[in-house]
Amino acid sequence: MPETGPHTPATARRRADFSVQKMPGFAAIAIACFVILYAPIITLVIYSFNAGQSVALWQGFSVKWYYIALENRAVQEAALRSLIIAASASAISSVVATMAAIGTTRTGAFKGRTAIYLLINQPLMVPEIVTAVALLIFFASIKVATGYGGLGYLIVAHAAFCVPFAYLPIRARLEGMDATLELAAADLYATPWLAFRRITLPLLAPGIAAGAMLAFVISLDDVIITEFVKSAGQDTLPTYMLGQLRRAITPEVNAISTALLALTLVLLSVFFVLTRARESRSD
Amino acid sequence: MANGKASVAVAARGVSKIFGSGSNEVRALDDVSLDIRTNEFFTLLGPSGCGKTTLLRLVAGFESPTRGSIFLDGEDITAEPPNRRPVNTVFQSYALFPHLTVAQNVAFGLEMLGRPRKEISDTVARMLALVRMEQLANRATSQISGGQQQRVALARALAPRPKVLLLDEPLSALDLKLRKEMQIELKRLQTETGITFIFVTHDQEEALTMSDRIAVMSAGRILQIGSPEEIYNHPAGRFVASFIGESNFFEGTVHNVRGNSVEIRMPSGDMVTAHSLSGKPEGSVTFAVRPEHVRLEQFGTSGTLAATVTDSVYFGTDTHCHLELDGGERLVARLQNKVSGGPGYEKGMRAGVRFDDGAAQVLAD
Repeated sequence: MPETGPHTPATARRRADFSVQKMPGFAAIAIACFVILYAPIITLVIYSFNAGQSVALWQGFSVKWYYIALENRAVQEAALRSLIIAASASAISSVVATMAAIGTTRTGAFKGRTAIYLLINQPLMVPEIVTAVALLIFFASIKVATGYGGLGYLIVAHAAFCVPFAYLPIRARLEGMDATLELAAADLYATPWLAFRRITLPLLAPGIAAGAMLAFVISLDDVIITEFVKSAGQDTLPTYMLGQLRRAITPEVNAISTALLALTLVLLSVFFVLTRARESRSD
Repeated sequence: MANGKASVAVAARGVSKIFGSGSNEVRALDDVSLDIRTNEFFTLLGPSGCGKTTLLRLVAGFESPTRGSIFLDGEDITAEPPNRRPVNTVFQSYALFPHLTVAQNVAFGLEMLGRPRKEISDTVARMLALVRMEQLANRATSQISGGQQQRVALARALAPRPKVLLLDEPLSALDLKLRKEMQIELKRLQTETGITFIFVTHDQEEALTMSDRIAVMSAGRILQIGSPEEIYNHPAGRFVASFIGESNFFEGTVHNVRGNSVEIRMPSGDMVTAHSLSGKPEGSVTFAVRPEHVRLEQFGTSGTLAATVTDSVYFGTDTHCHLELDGGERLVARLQNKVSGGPGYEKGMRAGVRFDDGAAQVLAD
């Protein structure tokens, strides 16, 4: 280009030197990270289609392990139990988290707000095994006192540790929301309840959906607390799989894991599409 | 309050608002009392932090006063929540509901009041016509320009026919041209609807062009209430004189008082006749003269103050002549430019300064 000034090539080269992509080892590190992240999962998925008994030796393609898992009564019951617990825990924790988020963002600065944050986020900080042991002992005494031995304990326990996961996205959304909108609603004769239902809730919905989904996935995945709290015959999918691993490992476990992975991916995509649609509409 | 004074729309009595406590205490409003008349365009004018927005929020019900009471049509509304006050607000940020269309925004207040659907759609159509937004009724509020959002915010606040409309610096986000248009528009809306407007601004020009009356505020207090002409021509104190328009300030001692007319002896010995708003000034006083009320004449003309031109700045419509009196005081004279050119006073020239009759104003502080 004849009209290019004398300084342009040098500036362009210097800018390229500062680009992270041009630094030595960038590609190698990036590839290594992705391999470590995804190679095990890809291997797991591939061997779920193995025709043989082994989870490490390929013996041809087959979907028979999916059939075996689907027809296994124990798997069916565990899957249903997992879904019931996750759905209940997700619903309870997102309601509690929404109330907590409104309580901590829509009030003036008050004494002990930091303490409240810490209290709400306790499950993120206290080691899960401690909570599990504590719940085991606590629920045992309630069981003795009441004689109740149903799924309620698992639902309550899951709802409790799901609250911070639901709380974080909801609070973030509330903090990003203009509080003047709620004043405007009150100014236009909306009672506090109507202002919440007509203004705050619709605008908060993506945050609540994100929180509920996160809580659902976290609950679905839990092993430690479930293992301690469950009574006999209350296996969820993860604790059932853990139990299977203690015996003979077959690609059935791979098949169940792959199904769980697929469910999570579907949930994530649906949520992504939903929030994208909302954003582009309000742009 | 309710002693038959039907012409008062909003009244504040001894209102104070203190934020924080202890060493962080901020006195946003300090014992404020005022009456805002029905159907008037009333402006709260002052620099940021003077308490004007706090006063507006107290009338809207978003804050409650630390002391004192707020009355609406003679009724004490101090304890009423915002949704039970027949008062609507146009917010500085407009605060349009982003998930509702233009028409749904305007309908919101009427829906909350439980009006019949037919009445709501009729009123919404009329309000959108009033602010010339009929074409965009079904748009999302994010798809319209800042000026259009402003109009929607106005229509939304006017739709329930409030007794008082509160406007919190609603024009500050608009560019200059749009702001001028909206000033005229707001005045038109106020006249057409007959609703009492309380307008908050820090822009003295906005206040002067639109208001029936202005309250000038500073540091949580009301310094002066009056019509734009009264405020501009007869500022009560130094703050009002310098915040609204520009002023030249002079010191002197009172020589003789006759009614509102005060003869003041300047340190140079020259005598100036000034106007006093109230009271009987005595001793040493400050008086103010607007730059456009200063005339320059031939040096040595009798009755003029001897001065030297220190600078002359051309401004298109006028020229600002900076002068120093022989007594040492500095002042600015704003002289109208003619087709033939400027007023012809150059730096270093000698001139005689004369104040227009009634232009000198004695200040209370």
